[in-house]
Amino acid sequence: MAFLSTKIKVNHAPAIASPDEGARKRPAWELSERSRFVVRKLLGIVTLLFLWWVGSVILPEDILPGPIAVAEAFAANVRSGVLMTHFLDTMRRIVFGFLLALSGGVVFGTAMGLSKKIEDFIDTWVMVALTIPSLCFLIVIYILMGLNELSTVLAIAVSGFPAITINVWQGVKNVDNKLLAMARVFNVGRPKRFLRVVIPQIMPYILAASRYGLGIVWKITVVAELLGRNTGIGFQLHYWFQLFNMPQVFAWTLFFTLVMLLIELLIFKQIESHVFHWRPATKF
Amino acid sequence: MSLEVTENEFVCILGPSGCGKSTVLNILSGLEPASSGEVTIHRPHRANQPTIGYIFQEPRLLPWLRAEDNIKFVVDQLQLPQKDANFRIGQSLESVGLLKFARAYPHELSGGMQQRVAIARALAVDPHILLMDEPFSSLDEITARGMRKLLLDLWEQQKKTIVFVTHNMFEAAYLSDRILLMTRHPGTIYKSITTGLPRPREYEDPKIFAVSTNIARDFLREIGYESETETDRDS
Repeated sequence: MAFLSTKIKVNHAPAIASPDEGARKRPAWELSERSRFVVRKLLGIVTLLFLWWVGSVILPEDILPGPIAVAEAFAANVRSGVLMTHFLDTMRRIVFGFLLALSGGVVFGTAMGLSKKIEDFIDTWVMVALTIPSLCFLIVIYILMGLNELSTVLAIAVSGFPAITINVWQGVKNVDNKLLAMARVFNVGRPKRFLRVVIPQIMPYILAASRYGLGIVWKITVVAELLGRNTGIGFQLHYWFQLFNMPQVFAWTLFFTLVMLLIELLIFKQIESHVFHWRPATKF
Repeated sequence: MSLEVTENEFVCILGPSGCGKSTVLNILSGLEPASSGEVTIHRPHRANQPTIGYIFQEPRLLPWLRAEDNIKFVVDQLQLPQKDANFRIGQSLESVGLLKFARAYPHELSGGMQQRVAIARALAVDPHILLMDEPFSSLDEITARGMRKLLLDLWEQQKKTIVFVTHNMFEAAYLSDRILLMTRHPGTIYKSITTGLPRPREYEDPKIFAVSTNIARDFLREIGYESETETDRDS
Protein backbone atom coordinates (compact mmCIF):
# COMPACT_ATOMS: atom_id res chain seq x y z
CA MET A 1 0.00 0.00 0.00
CA ALA A 2 1.26 3.43 -0.89
CA PHE A 3 2.37 5.64 1.94
CA LEU A 4 0.95 8.74 0.33
CA SER A 5 -1.38 8.81 -2.60
CA THR A 6 -3.25 11.76 -3.95
CA LYS A 7 -5.76 12.41 -6.63
CA ILE A 8 -5.94 16.05 -7.46
CA LYS A 9 -7.98 17.84 -10.05
CA VAL A 10 -6.92 21.36 -10.84
CA ASN A 11 -9.27 23.76 -12.58
CA HIS A 12 -7.74 26.06 -15.14
CA ALA A 13 -6.81 29.59 -14.16
CA PRO A 14 -9.74 32.02 -14.53
CA ALA A 15 -8.08 33.79 -17.45
CA ILE A 16 -8.39 30.68 -19.61
CA ALA A 17 -11.40 28.89 -18.20
CA SER A 18 -14.87 29.61 -19.54
CA PRO A 19 -17.09 31.23 -16.87
CA ASP A 20 -19.27 28.21 -16.03
CA GLU A 21 -16.47 25.64 -16.03
CA GLY A 22 -15.57 26.05 -12.36
CA ALA A 23 -19.11 26.14 -10.96
CA ARG A 24 -20.26 23.03 -9.14
CA LYS A 25 -23.79 21.72 -8.86
CA ARG A 26 -25.35 22.83 -5.62
CA PRO A 27 -28.30 21.14 -3.90
CA ALA A 28 -31.56 23.09 -3.83
CA TRP A 29 -31.61 23.53 -0.04
CA GLU A 30 -28.15 25.08 0.10
CA LEU A 31 -27.92 28.87 -0.02
CA SER A 32 -25.57 30.45 -2.52
CA GLU A 33 -22.34 32.00 -1.22
CA ARG A 34 -23.83 35.43 -1.86
CA SER A 35 -27.02 34.90 0.17
CA ARG A 36 -25.10 33.31 3.03
CA PHE A 37 -22.98 36.44 3.08
CA VAL A 38 -26.11 38.60 3.28
CA VAL A 39 -27.55 36.47 6.08
CA ARG A 40 -24.36 36.81 8.14
CA LYS A 41 -24.35 40.58 7.64
CA LEU A 42 -28.01 40.91 8.64
CA LEU A 43 -27.45 38.75 11.68
CA GLY A 44 -24.69 41.10 12.82
CA ILE A 45 -26.92 44.15 12.46
CA VAL A 46 -29.92 42.52 14.17
CA THR A 47 -27.73 41.45 17.11
CA LEU A 48 -26.44 45.00 17.50
CA LEU A 49 -29.98 46.42 17.51
CA PHE A 50 -31.06 43.77 20.02
CA LEU A 51 -28.21 44.63 22.40
CA TRP A 52 -29.15 48.28 22.14
CA TRP A 53 -32.78 47.46 22.95
CA VAL A 54 -31.75 45.33 25.95
CA GLY A 55 -29.59 48.20 27.20
CA SER A 56 -32.44 50.70 26.78
CA VAL A 57 -34.77 48.47 28.82
CA ILE A 58 -32.27 48.27 31.68
CA LEU A 59 -31.18 51.92 31.70
CA PRO A 60 -33.54 54.93 32.07
CA GLU A 61 -34.68 56.62 28.86
CA ASP A 62 -32.87 59.93 29.46
CA ILE A 63 -29.55 58.04 29.52
CA LEU A 64 -30.02 55.39 26.87
CA PRO A 65 -33.14 55.79 24.74
CA GLY A 66 -34.40 52.72 22.89
CA PRO A 67 -34.58 52.23 19.12
CA ILE A 68 -38.23 53.20 19.00
CA ALA A 69 -37.86 56.52 20.84
CA VAL A 70 -34.93 57.39 18.57
CA ALA A 71 -36.86 56.45 15.45
CA GLU A 72 -39.72 58.70 16.57
CA ALA A 73 -37.35 61.64 17.11
CA PHE A 74 -35.86 61.00 13.69
CA ALA A 75 -39.28 60.86 12.03
CA ALA A 76 -40.19 64.18 13.62
CA ASN A 77 -37.04 65.76 12.21
CA VAL A 78 -37.83 64.43 8.75
CA ARG A 79 -41.42 65.74 8.88
CA SER A 80 -40.42 69.22 10.00
CA GLY A 81 -37.72 69.49 7.29
CA VAL A 82 -35.04 70.26 9.89
CA LEU A 83 -33.14 67.14 9.01
CA MET A 84 -32.56 68.01 5.36
CA THR A 85 -31.56 71.66 5.95
CA HIS A 86 -28.98 70.88 8.57
CA PHE A 87 -27.75 67.77 6.84
CA LEU A 88 -27.12 69.68 3.59
CA ASP A 89 -25.24 72.41 5.45
CA THR A 90 -22.98 69.82 7.03
CA MET A 91 -22.46 67.94 3.79
CA ARG A 92 -21.52 71.12 1.95
CA ARG A 93 -18.84 71.90 4.53
CA ILE A 94 -17.54 68.35 4.43
CA VAL A 95 -17.39 68.21 0.63
CA PHE A 96 -15.60 71.54 0.20
CA GLY A 97 -13.27 70.95 3.12
CA PHE A 98 -12.44 67.46 1.94
CA LEU A 99 -11.85 68.42 -1.70
CA LEU A 100 -9.59 71.25 -0.59
CA ALA A 101 -7.63 68.92 1.70
CA LEU A 102 -7.42 66.24 -0.97
CA SER A 103 -6.18 68.49 -3.76
CA GLY A 104 -3.67 70.15 -1.45
CA GLY A 105 -2.54 66.77 -0.15
CA VAL A 106 -2.12 65.26 -3.59
CA VAL A 107 -0.18 68.25 -4.93
CA PHE A 108 2.12 68.55 -1.92
CA GLY A 109 2.50 64.80 -1.42
CA THR A 110 3.41 64.25 -5.06
CA ALA A 111 5.85 67.15 -5.09
CA MET A 112 7.52 65.84 -1.92
CA GLY A 113 7.74 62.32 -3.31
CA LEU A 114 9.23 63.41 -6.62
CA SER A 115 11.67 66.06 -5.43
CA LYS A 116 14.16 65.62 -2.63
CA LYS A 117 14.58 69.39 -2.30
CA ILE A 118 10.87 70.03 -1.77
CA GLU A 119 10.72 67.07 0.61
CA ASP A 120 13.54 68.41 2.78
CA PHE A 121 11.89 71.81 2.88
CA ILE A 122 8.29 70.81 3.61
CA ASP A 123 8.40 67.58 5.58
CA THR A 124 8.84 69.37 8.92
CA TRP A 125 5.72 71.43 8.21
CA VAL A 126 3.70 68.35 7.48
CA MET A 127 4.98 66.53 10.55
CA VAL A 128 4.18 69.50 12.79
CA ALA A 129 0.75 69.90 11.19
CA LEU A 130 0.03 66.22 11.73
CA THR A 131 0.89 66.49 15.41
CA ILE A 132 -1.21 69.58 16.15
CA PRO A 133 -4.72 68.53 17.26
CA SER A 134 -7.42 69.48 14.73
CA LEU A 135 -9.24 71.36 17.48
CA CYS A 136 -6.30 73.79 17.78
CA PHE A 137 -6.43 74.58 14.06
CA LEU A 138 -10.11 75.17 14.43
CA ILE A 139 -9.78 77.57 17.36
CA VAL A 140 -6.88 79.50 15.82
CA ILE A 141 -8.61 79.89 12.46
CA TYR A 142 -11.88 80.96 14.13
CA ILE A 143 -9.99 83.60 16.10
CA LEU A 144 -8.07 84.82 13.04
CA MET A 145 -10.92 84.81 10.53
CA GLY A 146 -14.07 84.96 12.62
CA LEU A 147 -16.98 82.55 12.78
CA ASN A 148 -18.02 82.21 9.15
CA GLU A 149 -18.38 79.59 6.42
CA LEU A 150 -15.00 80.26 4.87
CA SER A 151 -13.10 79.87 8.12
CA THR A 152 -15.05 76.68 8.87
CA VAL A 153 -14.24 75.09 5.52
CA LEU A 154 -10.62 76.20 5.79
CA ALA A 155 -10.24 74.75 9.26
CA ILE A 156 -11.75 71.47 8.08
CA ALA A 157 -9.38 71.37 5.10
CA VAL A 158 -6.33 72.15 7.21
CA SER A 159 -7.25 69.32 9.58
CA GLY A 160 -7.52 66.74 6.81
CA PHE A 161 -4.54 67.94 4.81
CA PRO A 162 -1.50 66.54 6.70
CA ALA A 163 -2.72 62.93 6.83
CA ILE A 164 -3.57 62.95 3.12
CA THR A 165 -0.23 64.53 2.22
CA ILE A 166 1.73 61.93 4.13
CA ASN A 167 -0.11 59.03 2.52
CA VAL A 168 0.38 60.37 -0.99
CA TRP A 169 4.02 61.21 -0.26
CA GLN A 170 4.68 57.63 0.87
CA GLY A 171 2.89 56.36 -2.22
CA VAL A 172 5.06 58.36 -4.58
CA LYS A 173 8.20 57.24 -2.76
CA ASN A 174 7.14 53.63 -3.21
CA VAL A 175 6.79 53.97 -6.96
CA ASP A 176 8.68 51.18 -8.67
CA ASN A 177 11.77 52.68 -10.30
CA LYS A 178 12.24 49.57 -12.38
CA LEU A 179 8.99 50.22 -14.21
CA LEU A 180 10.02 53.83 -14.75
CA ALA A 181 13.38 52.69 -16.15
CA MET A 182 11.52 50.37 -18.50
CA ALA A 183 9.40 53.26 -19.74
CA ARG A 184 12.48 55.42 -20.25
CA VAL A 185 14.31 52.75 -22.25
CA PHE A 186 11.34 52.53 -24.60
CA ASN A 187 11.44 56.31 -25.13
CA VAL A 188 8.26 57.06 -23.20
CA GLY A 189 8.25 60.80 -22.45
CA ARG A 190 8.04 62.40 -19.02
CA PRO A 191 4.35 63.41 -19.02
CA LYS A 192 3.26 59.96 -20.17
CA ARG A 193 5.52 58.30 -17.62
CA PHE A 194 3.86 60.33 -14.92
CA LEU A 195 0.30 59.67 -16.09
CA ARG A 196 0.62 56.02 -17.04
CA VAL A 197 3.32 54.69 -14.70
CA VAL A 198 3.38 56.90 -11.59
CA ILE A 199 -0.32 57.74 -11.19
CA PRO A 200 -1.64 54.14 -11.33
CA GLN A 201 0.89 53.20 -8.68
CA ILE A 202 -0.11 55.96 -6.30
CA MET A 203 -3.85 55.50 -6.83
CA PRO A 204 -4.13 53.00 -3.96
CA TYR A 205 -2.44 55.52 -1.68
CA ILE A 206 -4.65 58.37 -2.84
CA LEU A 207 -7.71 56.25 -2.20
CA ALA A 208 -6.50 55.18 1.24
CA ALA A 209 -5.61 58.80 1.98
CA SER A 210 -9.08 59.89 0.91
CA ARG A 211 -10.81 57.43 3.19
CA TYR A 212 -8.63 58.31 6.11
CA GLY A 213 -8.87 62.02 5.33
CA LEU A 214 -12.66 61.88 5.05
CA GLY A 215 -12.82 60.20 8.46
CA ILE A 216 -10.88 63.09 9.98
CA VAL A 217 -12.83 65.70 8.03
CA TRP A 218 -16.32 64.64 8.99
CA LYS A 219 -15.42 64.33 12.64
CA ILE A 220 -13.88 67.78 12.80
CA THR A 221 -16.79 69.22 10.81
CA VAL A 222 -19.19 68.29 13.59
CA VAL A 223 -16.88 69.92 16.14
CA ALA A 224 -16.53 73.05 13.99
CA GLU A 225 -20.32 73.35 13.81
CA LEU A 226 -20.63 72.78 17.53
CA LEU A 227 -18.14 75.58 18.27
CA GLY A 228 -18.86 78.20 15.71
CA ARG A 229 -21.93 77.62 13.51
CA ASN A 230 -25.65 77.81 14.08
CA THR A 231 -26.61 75.21 11.48
CA GLY A 232 -25.54 71.68 10.71
CA ILE A 233 -25.51 68.37 12.49
CA GLY A 234 -22.84 69.49 14.97
CA PHE A 235 -25.01 72.42 15.94
CA GLN A 236 -28.04 70.15 16.37
CA LEU A 237 -26.06 67.78 18.59
CA HIS A 238 -24.93 70.68 20.73
CA TYR A 239 -28.44 72.07 20.95
CA TRP A 240 -30.08 68.80 22.01
CA PHE A 241 -27.22 68.00 24.34
CA GLN A 242 -27.89 71.24 26.21
CA LEU A 243 -31.55 70.23 26.54
CA PHE A 244 -30.45 66.72 27.60
CA ASN A 245 -32.71 65.28 24.93
CA MET A 246 -31.04 61.92 24.37
CA PRO A 247 -33.42 60.56 21.69
CA GLN A 248 -32.57 63.58 19.51
CA VAL A 249 -28.83 63.25 20.15
CA PHE A 250 -29.06 59.60 19.16
CA ALA A 251 -31.20 60.32 16.13
CA TRP A 252 -28.73 62.84 14.71
CA THR A 253 -25.71 60.69 15.49
CA LEU A 254 -27.18 57.58 13.93
CA PHE A 255 -28.36 59.40 10.85
CA PHE A 256 -24.98 60.94 10.25
CA THR A 257 -23.18 57.64 10.84
CA LEU A 258 -25.43 55.89 8.35
CA VAL A 259 -24.82 58.54 5.72
CA MET A 260 -21.05 58.23 6.14
CA LEU A 261 -21.26 54.45 5.93
CA LEU A 262 -23.25 54.73 2.73
CA ILE A 263 -20.65 57.08 1.27
CA GLU A 264 -17.97 54.55 2.13
CA LEU A 265 -19.92 51.64 0.63
CA LEU A 266 -21.40 53.33 -2.41
CA ILE A 267 -18.64 55.69 -3.43
CA PHE A 268 -15.32 54.33 -2.20
CA LYS A 269 -16.07 50.67 -2.80
CA GLN A 270 -17.22 51.51 -6.31
CA ILE A 271 -14.12 53.55 -7.08
CA GLU A 272 -11.96 50.83 -5.61
CA SER A 273 -13.42 48.01 -7.67
CA HIS A 274 -13.28 50.20 -10.75
CA VAL A 275 -9.68 51.35 -10.30
CA PHE A 276 -8.22 48.10 -9.03
CA HIS A 277 -9.90 45.55 -11.25
CA TRP A 278 -6.42 44.46 -12.35
CA ARG A 279 -5.33 43.50 -8.84
CA PRO A 280 -5.50 39.88 -7.73
CA ALA A 281 -7.40 39.28 -4.52
CA THR A 282 -5.23 38.90 -1.43
CA LYS A 283 -5.08 35.34 -0.22
CA PHE A 284 -3.82 35.00 3.30
CA MET B 1 36.58 49.24 -21.91
CA SER B 2 35.46 49.27 -25.50
CA LEU B 3 33.34 46.99 -27.58
CA GLU B 4 32.05 46.89 -31.11
CA VAL B 5 29.08 44.98 -32.37
CA THR B 6 28.31 44.53 -36.06
CA GLU B 7 24.82 44.58 -37.48
CA ASN B 8 22.74 41.45 -36.90
CA GLU B 9 25.37 39.99 -34.62
CA PHE B 10 24.43 38.10 -31.47
CA VAL B 11 26.93 39.05 -28.78
CA CYS B 12 26.99 37.81 -25.21
CA ILE B 13 28.68 39.66 -22.38
CA LEU B 14 29.64 37.02 -19.87
CA GLY B 15 31.01 37.60 -16.41
CA PRO B 16 30.55 37.02 -12.68
CA SER B 17 27.99 39.07 -10.80
CA GLY B 18 29.12 42.52 -9.81
CA CYS B 19 31.49 43.00 -12.73
CA GLY B 20 29.36 45.70 -14.32
CA LYS B 21 27.65 43.76 -17.10
CA SER B 22 24.31 45.38 -16.50
CA THR B 23 25.94 48.79 -16.25
CA VAL B 24 27.28 48.31 -19.77
CA LEU B 25 23.73 47.68 -21.02
CA ASN B 26 22.38 50.64 -19.10
CA ILE B 27 24.97 52.88 -20.70
CA LEU B 28 24.26 51.46 -24.16
CA SER B 29 20.56 52.13 -23.68
CA GLY B 30 21.07 55.60 -22.24
CA LEU B 31 19.56 54.70 -18.88
CA GLU B 32 22.77 55.62 -17.09
CA PRO B 33 25.33 58.18 -18.18
CA ALA B 34 28.87 56.98 -18.78
CA SER B 35 31.55 58.53 -16.55
CA SER B 36 33.47 59.17 -19.77
CA GLY B 37 33.49 57.94 -23.33
CA GLU B 38 30.72 57.59 -25.87
CA VAL B 39 28.30 55.24 -27.58
CA THR B 40 27.88 55.42 -31.33
CA ILE B 41 25.17 53.67 -33.31
CA HIS B 42 25.65 53.59 -37.09
CA ARG B 43 22.51 53.16 -39.12
CA PRO B 44 23.34 53.11 -42.80
CA HIS B 45 20.05 51.49 -43.86
CA ARG B 46 17.39 53.18 -41.81
CA ALA B 47 16.56 56.84 -41.69
CA ASN B 48 14.70 57.42 -38.42
CA GLN B 49 15.94 57.50 -34.84
CA PRO B 50 17.52 54.30 -33.59
CA THR B 51 15.19 52.29 -31.41
CA ILE B 52 16.22 50.02 -28.63
CA GLY B 53 14.39 47.00 -27.30
CA TYR B 54 15.25 46.05 -23.75
CA ILE B 55 14.45 42.82 -21.98
CA PHE B 56 15.12 42.93 -18.27
CA GLN B 57 15.79 40.20 -15.77
CA GLU B 58 12.22 40.63 -14.54
CA PRO B 59 9.32 41.05 -16.96
CA ARG B 60 8.66 44.64 -15.81
CA LEU B 61 5.13 44.66 -17.17
CA LEU B 62 2.69 47.28 -15.96
CA PRO B 63 0.38 45.19 -13.77
CA TRP B 64 -2.70 47.34 -14.46
CA LEU B 65 -2.51 46.79 -18.22
CA ARG B 66 -3.48 43.69 -20.17
CA ALA B 67 -0.71 41.94 -22.13
CA GLU B 68 -1.70 43.69 -25.37
CA ASP B 69 -1.92 47.08 -23.67
CA ASN B 70 1.52 46.61 -22.17
CA ILE B 71 2.85 46.25 -25.70
CA LYS B 72 0.69 49.11 -26.95
CA PHE B 73 2.20 51.26 -24.21
CA VAL B 74 5.61 51.19 -25.93
CA VAL B 75 4.39 50.82 -29.53
CA ASP B 76 2.44 54.08 -29.16
CA GLN B 77 5.77 55.89 -28.94
CA LEU B 78 6.43 55.06 -32.59
CA GLN B 79 3.31 56.99 -33.67
CA LEU B 80 2.31 54.47 -36.29
CA PRO B 81 -1.13 54.51 -37.87
CA GLN B 82 -3.62 52.68 -35.65
CA LYS B 83 -3.88 49.73 -38.02
CA ASP B 84 -0.13 49.13 -38.25
CA ALA B 85 0.22 49.44 -34.49
CA ASN B 86 -2.47 46.85 -33.87
CA PHE B 87 -0.93 44.57 -36.45
CA ARG B 88 2.45 44.80 -34.74
CA ILE B 89 0.99 44.08 -31.33
CA GLY B 90 -0.81 41.01 -32.63
CA GLN B 91 2.21 39.84 -34.57
CA SER B 92 4.60 40.19 -31.66
CA LEU B 93 2.28 38.27 -29.34
CA GLU B 94 1.84 35.62 -32.01
CA SER B 95 5.61 35.27 -32.36
CA VAL B 96 5.97 34.34 -28.69
CA GLY B 97 2.89 32.11 -28.85
CA LEU B 98 0.70 34.23 -26.59
CA LEU B 99 -1.93 35.59 -28.95
CA LYS B 100 -4.61 33.77 -26.95
CA PHE B 101 -3.53 35.62 -23.84
CA ALA B 102 -3.60 39.11 -25.30
CA ARG B 103 -6.33 40.18 -22.91
CA ALA B 104 -4.86 38.60 -19.78
CA TYR B 105 -3.42 40.69 -16.97
CA PRO B 106 0.20 39.99 -15.97
CA HIS B 107 -0.82 38.40 -12.66
CA GLU B 108 -2.89 35.85 -14.56
CA LEU B 109 0.21 34.65 -16.43
CA SER B 110 3.07 32.45 -15.25
CA GLY B 111 6.59 33.87 -14.86
CA GLY B 112 7.69 32.39 -18.18
CA MET B 113 4.64 33.76 -19.98
CA GLN B 114 5.21 37.19 -18.48
CA GLN B 115 8.77 37.14 -19.74
CA ARG B 116 7.47 36.16 -23.18
CA VAL B 117 5.19 39.20 -23.12
CA ALA B 118 8.28 41.26 -22.27
CA ILE B 119 10.06 39.75 -25.27
CA ALA B 120 7.04 40.49 -27.47
CA ARG B 121 7.07 44.07 -26.18
CA ALA B 122 10.74 44.50 -27.09
CA LEU B 123 10.21 42.99 -30.55
CA ALA B 124 7.10 45.05 -31.23
CA VAL B 125 9.05 48.29 -31.48
CA ASP B 126 11.12 46.60 -34.20
CA PRO B 127 14.33 47.75 -32.52
CA HIS B 128 17.66 48.24 -34.26
CA ILE B 129 19.31 46.85 -31.18
CA LEU B 130 17.96 44.38 -28.68
CA LEU B 131 19.52 44.53 -25.23
CA MET B 132 18.90 41.63 -22.87
CA ASP B 133 19.92 41.62 -19.21
CA GLU B 134 19.95 38.05 -17.88
CA PRO B 135 16.38 37.65 -19.13
CA PHE B 136 16.09 33.96 -18.30
CA SER B 137 18.06 33.75 -15.07
CA SER B 138 15.00 33.93 -12.83
CA LEU B 139 13.14 31.20 -14.71
CA ASP B 140 13.35 27.51 -13.96
CA GLU B 141 15.74 25.57 -16.19
CA ILE B 142 13.04 23.85 -18.24
CA THR B 143 11.24 27.10 -19.03
CA ALA B 144 14.55 28.87 -19.65
CA ARG B 145 15.54 26.26 -22.21
CA GLY B 146 12.33 26.74 -24.11
CA MET B 147 12.82 30.49 -24.03
CA ARG B 148 16.39 30.27 -25.35
CA LYS B 149 15.17 28.14 -28.21
CA LEU B 150 12.37 30.63 -28.88
CA LEU B 151 14.83 33.51 -28.83
CA LEU B 152 17.12 31.83 -31.36
CA ASP B 153 14.17 31.07 -33.64
CA LEU B 154 13.02 34.68 -33.49
CA TRP B 155 16.54 35.92 -34.12
CA GLU B 156 16.89 33.63 -37.17
CA GLN B 157 13.64 35.07 -38.56
CA GLN B 158 14.09 38.73 -37.75
CA LYS B 159 17.90 39.13 -37.67
CA LYS B 160 18.43 41.71 -34.98
CA THR B 161 21.58 43.00 -33.38
CA ILE B 162 21.52 41.53 -29.89
CA VAL B 163 23.67 42.29 -26.86
CA PHE B 164 22.88 39.67 -24.26
CA VAL B 165 24.23 39.81 -20.73
CA THR B 166 24.53 36.60 -18.74
CA HIS B 167 26.58 34.74 -16.16
CA ASN B 168 25.60 31.39 -17.60
CA MET B 169 28.42 30.05 -19.79
CA PHE B 170 26.35 27.39 -21.48
CA GLU B 171 23.68 29.92 -22.32
CA ALA B 172 26.30 32.20 -23.85
CA ALA B 173 27.82 29.38 -25.89
CA TYR B 174 24.43 28.16 -27.08
CA LEU B 175 23.09 31.56 -28.13
CA SER B 176 25.82 33.80 -29.41
CA ASP B 177 28.20 34.36 -32.30
CA ARG B 178 30.72 36.03 -30.07
CA ILE B 179 31.27 36.01 -26.33
CA LEU B 180 32.92 38.86 -24.47
CA LEU B 181 34.43 37.77 -21.17
CA MET B 182 34.30 40.36 -18.43
CA THR B 183 36.21 40.52 -15.14
CA ARG B 184 35.59 42.63 -12.10
CA HIS B 185 38.24 44.80 -10.42
CA PRO B 186 38.70 46.23 -12.96
CA GLY B 187 35.46 45.76 -14.88
CA THR B 188 36.85 45.23 -18.35
CA ILE B 189 36.46 42.84 -21.24
CA TYR B 190 39.61 40.79 -21.23
CA LYS B 191 38.81 38.43 -24.05
CA SER B 192 36.54 38.04 -27.04
CA ILE B 193 35.71 34.52 -28.22
CA THR B 194 34.10 33.81 -31.57
CA THR B 195 32.39 30.48 -31.08
CA GLY B 196 32.12 29.58 -34.77
CA LEU B 197 29.47 27.01 -33.98
CA PRO B 198 27.11 26.22 -36.87
CA ARG B 199 23.44 27.20 -36.77
CA PRO B 200 20.76 26.04 -36.19
CA ARG B 201 22.08 24.72 -32.91
CA GLU B 202 20.87 21.80 -30.89
CA TYR B 203 20.79 22.10 -27.15
CA GLU B 204 22.42 18.72 -26.64
CA ASP B 205 25.30 19.39 -29.05
CA PRO B 206 28.54 18.40 -27.26
CA LYS B 207 30.40 21.12 -29.17
CA ILE B 208 28.41 23.78 -27.31
CA PHE B 209 29.24 22.07 -24.08
CA ALA B 210 32.93 22.04 -25.05
CA VAL B 211 32.89 25.79 -25.72
CA SER B 212 31.25 26.44 -22.38
CA THR B 213 33.77 24.25 -20.57
CA ASN B 214 36.65 26.10 -22.23
CA ILE B 215 35.21 29.41 -21.15
CA ALA B 216 34.91 28.19 -17.59
CA ARG B 217 38.54 27.04 -17.61
CA ASP B 218 39.62 30.34 -19.12
CA PHE B 219 37.75 32.29 -16.47
CA LEU B 220 39.25 30.37 -13.60
CA ARG B 221 42.73 30.83 -15.00
CA GLU B 222 42.11 34.57 -15.41
CA ILE B 223 40.39 35.51 -12.19
CA GLY B 224 40.97 32.49 -9.97
CA TYR B 225 38.45 31.30 -7.43
CA GLU B 226 36.75 33.99 -5.39
CA SER B 227 39.45 36.51 -4.64
CA GLU B 228 37.49 38.05 -1.79
CA THR B 229 38.65 35.40 0.67
CA GLU B 230 42.26 36.37 0.03
CA THR B 231 41.44 40.00 0.66
CA ASP B 232 39.88 39.00 3.96
CA ARG B 233 43.05 37.23 5.00
CA ASP B 234 45.17 40.29 4.20
CA SER B 235 43.14 42.69 6.28
